[in-house]
Amino acid sequence: MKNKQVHIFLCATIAFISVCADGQTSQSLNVNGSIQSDMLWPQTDEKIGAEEYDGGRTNTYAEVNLTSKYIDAGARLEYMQYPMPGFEKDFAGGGVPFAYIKGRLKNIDLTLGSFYEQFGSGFIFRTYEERSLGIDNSLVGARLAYKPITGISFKVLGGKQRNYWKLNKSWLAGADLELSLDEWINPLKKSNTYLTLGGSMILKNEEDEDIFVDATHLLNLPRNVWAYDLRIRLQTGGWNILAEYASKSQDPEANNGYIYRKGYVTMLSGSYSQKGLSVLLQAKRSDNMTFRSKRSLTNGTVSGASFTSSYINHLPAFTMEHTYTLAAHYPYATQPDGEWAYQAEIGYNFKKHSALGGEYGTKVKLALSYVNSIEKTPKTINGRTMGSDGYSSPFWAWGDEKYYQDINVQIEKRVTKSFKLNLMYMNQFYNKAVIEQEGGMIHCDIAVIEGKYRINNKFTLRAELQYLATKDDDKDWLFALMELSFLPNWMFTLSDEYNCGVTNTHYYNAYITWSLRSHRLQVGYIRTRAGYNCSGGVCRYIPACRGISLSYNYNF
Amino acid sequence: MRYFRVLMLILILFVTGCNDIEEGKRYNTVDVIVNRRVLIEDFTGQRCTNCPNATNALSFISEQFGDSNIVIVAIHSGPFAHEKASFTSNRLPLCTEEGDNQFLRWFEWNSSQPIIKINRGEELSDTAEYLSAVANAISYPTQFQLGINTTYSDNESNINVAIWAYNSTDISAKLEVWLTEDSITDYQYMPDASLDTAYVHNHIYRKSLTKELTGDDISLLAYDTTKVSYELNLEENWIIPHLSIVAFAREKSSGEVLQVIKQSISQLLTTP
Repeated sequence: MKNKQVHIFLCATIAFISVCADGQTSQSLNVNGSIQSDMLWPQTDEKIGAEEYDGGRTNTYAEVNLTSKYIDAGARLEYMQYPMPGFEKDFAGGGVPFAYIKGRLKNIDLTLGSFYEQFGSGFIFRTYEERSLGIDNSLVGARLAYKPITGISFKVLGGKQRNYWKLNKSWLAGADLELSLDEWINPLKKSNTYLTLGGSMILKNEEDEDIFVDATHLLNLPRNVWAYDLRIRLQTGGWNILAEYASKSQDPEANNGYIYRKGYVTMLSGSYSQKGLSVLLQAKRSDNMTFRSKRSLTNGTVSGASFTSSYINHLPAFTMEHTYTLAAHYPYATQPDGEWAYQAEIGYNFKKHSALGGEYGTKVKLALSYVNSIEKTPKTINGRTMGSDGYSSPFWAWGDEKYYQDINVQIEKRVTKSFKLNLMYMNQFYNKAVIEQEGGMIHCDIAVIEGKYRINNKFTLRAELQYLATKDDDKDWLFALMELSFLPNWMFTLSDEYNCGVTNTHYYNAYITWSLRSHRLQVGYIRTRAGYNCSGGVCRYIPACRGISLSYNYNF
Repeated sequence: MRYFRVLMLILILFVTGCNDIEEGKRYNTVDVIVNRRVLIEDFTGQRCTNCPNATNALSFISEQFGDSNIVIVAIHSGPFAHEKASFTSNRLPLCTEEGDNQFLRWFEWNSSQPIIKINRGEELSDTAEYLSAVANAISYPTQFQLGINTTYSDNESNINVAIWAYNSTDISAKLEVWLTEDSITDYQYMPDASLDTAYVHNHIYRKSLTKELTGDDISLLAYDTTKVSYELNLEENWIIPHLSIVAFAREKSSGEVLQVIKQSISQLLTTP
């Protein structure tokens, strides 16, 4: 019965596509949207721990937006009655959880319904959608954006936050003001210097609940939690400097053990880019800045349901997001309790026909990421942590634990007109005990060779060979991939990730991908290991899987 | 000027709406309400570094509400009770096939641990939530009563376990009867990822005495006492003073526990 429902929904989606494909624009009204459907028919595989599911699984989204001169409207249909592996049972369901109408007149626009918004870097407020991680923390309410004069941007919003298929009971309200001083200070404008000041505030109002400290004491919880963010950004020539500070009032919640310590984030980021050279240096300190619209929700442990719902803010990971399979084998997740994080990158493009650039030029990039705990001296009230300030933490002091370190060098070189080579070496430290709540520190070396060869105007062949060497965890891994593109429509991919260190298990994948204009269809047979899918410091645990996969994307 | 007034109004609303709570005002005193005993199933594992935290939290709860009111059963099961996360990898010493089957009654294999079930209702992963949930569960009144008697059979390698049940209304329920063992010294991974080789494990689930893993049907007439008997074959490595019987009855429809009782076998044993 369950497989039949998946098939019926697939047919309905195809029918929807056909309707949308018939002429979508008129003079005053534009229609755009997308369909995305990921499906899996899983099989049991005891060796890798792929468990049995009752029927097919799918995460399917269909979105349509209407835009015109004064009014926009849109809605998104989601079908996840049998969600993909790794998505907890709270995702099961279907419906239209996102719908909005937006009106604009001169320099004001007003949105009613569901919306996404970010203040500054997102330290106090960021609502967004990231489907692969199961994140959709949109607000349902109202948002007003107003630009009274050039150089001033003001936003005010309010509403309730989405939590799977419901709305959390708490109310959120916020405001954001950005002043572009370069619009008013002529010398700045003339010298192409941009100076922006920003300030934001968010208020969460949540009803009281019974949180027991012991059998005879309940916590006296603050009903209102507020947070503010101040930032200054300077852009001039090749320079871009951002300094940002955010703070949160007392917010005892499950994630921090119900302590009353305030939260803080400080960030300084500087980058320079000009004529083939790019440099990035940034540092961030976060301390007790988890901010959720339901105080009793927890992080959960990473191995299992990831509980990524109901976050009001977003703390980015200051670590490089790797795309090569083995480089992303141990991905870092931002630690909500607090961390000192540093990131440095330098990239240089050696010009073609130079000594180091060769005939076609060479790009070299060196990157470093380092994350450490912050120092904490515990504080209690009569031996109790709940209800206390939790700890004190001097600003500059590091804690005892290294969380993550990654030093990597990448070289990208076109060797001939038809052949391009990418090389990467990475040395990594990954504190699995902290990040995954099991294991110890993993120290590994990773090497990657990727080659792309254009055989002729129609055929391109890409190959990757990767090796991860470590004495820890499951020890060494080997990865190989071959991908043949047959323009304009076809691509064939074969890959195998092999644990040669301990289990001697192959995790192979085979895909056929077909693209035609805005349509993309991928069919494959997969055998994937359990691991983490991460984006922007937020991770979701995906269990081991085996079976037939199908993905369809259409944008119109 | 108009914009400035609006901004000031918003600022005032924010500031006046949010006051810090000083240390002396963070706790409200309430009365302890105990209307029943509470069953806590702790799905744990020797490789689970967070599990000792859960154990400590449950011990604290026992102290708060009384040992006799909180019945904890540690079911070593799931991915962290195996050598590797895979179901087919070897079970660690305290894990049994029956324990794994108990785990799979409620959770997918790759669920996080520790995870507890309170009276077969709430499932909780975070220790910060345990106390509040137990305080709520323990305050619900119940008319259902349970008792346990144990005697040696003719051959002292077997024990007869008799469960009696009583309710103020007619009811059909499921009865589950388990054997648990305390004071088992074996290894345990700790929150700092170190290995404690002499960790003392308590409340360990050993086996179910009922015919079905999901329990046996039991029907009660109002104000009538109903008795059910089970035979327990003692294994050589079991230490009798460490063994206990846990019996609980649950509603057939909702599955919620109506009442639970735990008795140490050695306290109950009488010569035939």
